[in-house]
Amino acid sequence: MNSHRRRDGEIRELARLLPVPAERDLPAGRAQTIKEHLMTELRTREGSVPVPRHAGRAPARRPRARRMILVAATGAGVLGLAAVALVLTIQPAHRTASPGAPTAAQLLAKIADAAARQANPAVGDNQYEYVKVTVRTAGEKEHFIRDKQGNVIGNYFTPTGTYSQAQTETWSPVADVCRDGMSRSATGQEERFTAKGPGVKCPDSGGLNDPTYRLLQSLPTDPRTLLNLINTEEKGHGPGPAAEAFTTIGDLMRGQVVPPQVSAALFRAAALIPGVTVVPDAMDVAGRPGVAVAFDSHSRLANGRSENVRQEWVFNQSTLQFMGEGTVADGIVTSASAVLDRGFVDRLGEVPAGTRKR
Amino acid sequence: VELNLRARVRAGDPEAFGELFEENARAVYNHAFRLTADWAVAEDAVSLTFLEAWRHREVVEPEGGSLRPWLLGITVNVVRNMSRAARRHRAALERLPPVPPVPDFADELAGRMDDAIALRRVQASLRGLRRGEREVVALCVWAGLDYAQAAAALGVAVGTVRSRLSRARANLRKLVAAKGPVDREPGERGGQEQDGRENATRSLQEVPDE
Repeated sequence: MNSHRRRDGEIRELARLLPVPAERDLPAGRAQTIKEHLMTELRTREGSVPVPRHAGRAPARRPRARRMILVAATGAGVLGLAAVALVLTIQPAHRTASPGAPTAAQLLAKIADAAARQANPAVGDNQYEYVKVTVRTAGEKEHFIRDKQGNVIGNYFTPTGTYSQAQTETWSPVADVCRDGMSRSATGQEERFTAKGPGVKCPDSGGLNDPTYRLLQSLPTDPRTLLNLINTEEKGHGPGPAAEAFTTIGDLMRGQVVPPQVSAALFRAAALIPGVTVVPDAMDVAGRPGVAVAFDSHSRLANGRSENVRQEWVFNQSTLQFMGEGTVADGIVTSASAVLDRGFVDRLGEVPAGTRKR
Repeated sequence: VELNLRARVRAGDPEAFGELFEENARAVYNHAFRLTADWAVAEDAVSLTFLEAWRHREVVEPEGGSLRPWLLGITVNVVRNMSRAARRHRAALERLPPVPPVPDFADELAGRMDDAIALRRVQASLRGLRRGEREVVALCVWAGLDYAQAAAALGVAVGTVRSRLSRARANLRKLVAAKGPVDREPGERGGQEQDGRENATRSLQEVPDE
């Protein structure tokens, strides 16, 4: 069936982009131990409504020597390299706003007003939105932990302080994600993409995670309504509703052209998110200085460590146009992008006439 | 004729959970590894997944297919909230016999390191995706669930799974374009040094503060 073949194609491509190690069994004997333990636990709770164990009296931690080393080493690595992060463009700011500086809500209100004043182009259903971004991702260096005999007993990663950065151009259909879009890498390699798949009724204007321009135009322009819509759509994701709403709005801003009124509403919605702060002296990854708003959150890593994640959106200091965004984890920039150009074109591969800035 | 597994799981039959474990522990273990890139953490996630499954057993519908998608969905949540789940089951985990003190054989360890290295490389790319996208990729691409199963596992609409996958693919293409193929060989065992990019970083550092 066609839809199946398309789905398989999509899955195959993702598998190719993300090859993973072969599956393996639990370590010898371990599966049995865990199973026996599980069975014992269940039998002691059998029939009863399961109640969380009282955690007040903490029994002595059982020794997990290997794990402890890994966690400790990772922590040390991150601390040791914190200084590196300071040279990067998006800085982990403990910068305090000077007296008289605008609050995040005030700044976002101005940003929204500026966005609302942008020209509202007439866009045809058969056109494409064109976005050119530069994306930067962090390099990682691996470290090994050895025992006295020199055997590797653990590993961890630290940022190298090196980054790869490249431009990408994307053409996305304005009205229907079933039509082909295209991306072009810095090396000129072009690839088509489509959202066609099983259960997709074409035409389809996409969703909050893969919106077309037409979908964005249909979003409510009342900030509270819009924020509620985002919270409903993204419920259960991210470290919390505030962080996820901030992420969602940032994703919408970096990825596509947003209609002026919706753009304004998104920034006004962001002003309603508690915990948004101002970074007065930011810079995007294209090296352009600006002013940023930021949101800090904590996420729990699988190893139990807590990671501080800061997301920033950078705006032109004078025009207040959105320029780029980035994410800093524990003081290290993990990814960042800057919008170099966006607009609408008639055909895949065309660039907007007159090269609109930002 | 035996009572169906779902009904027995729902009724809280420990033997049914034993069978569930036998059939799915490996899948859960590998799924957890792909989400965390850490085999030791994945081991804990196996225990926590089945303890959480027991806690939530009454949500299992008596009719239906394999319970694997449900378990993998629990694993996603366990990994997402590892510390919370661990706290909830702390007493149980304390009773789990510890991993025997090292002498892992060097070869086995090396294999584990290699896998973890390969996965960390993939995860560098995955980090560019949003969590919802990562979770869908792990379920649909690596665990082989179909869209409906993944939707059920994550408690979201099928359309959401589809759009997240589609978005994940688009984002990965951008990342690959920016970074080169994720599966390229690392230069050294020292891992992925990015080549020739020092300059880009340095020139940015020299941009004067305005």
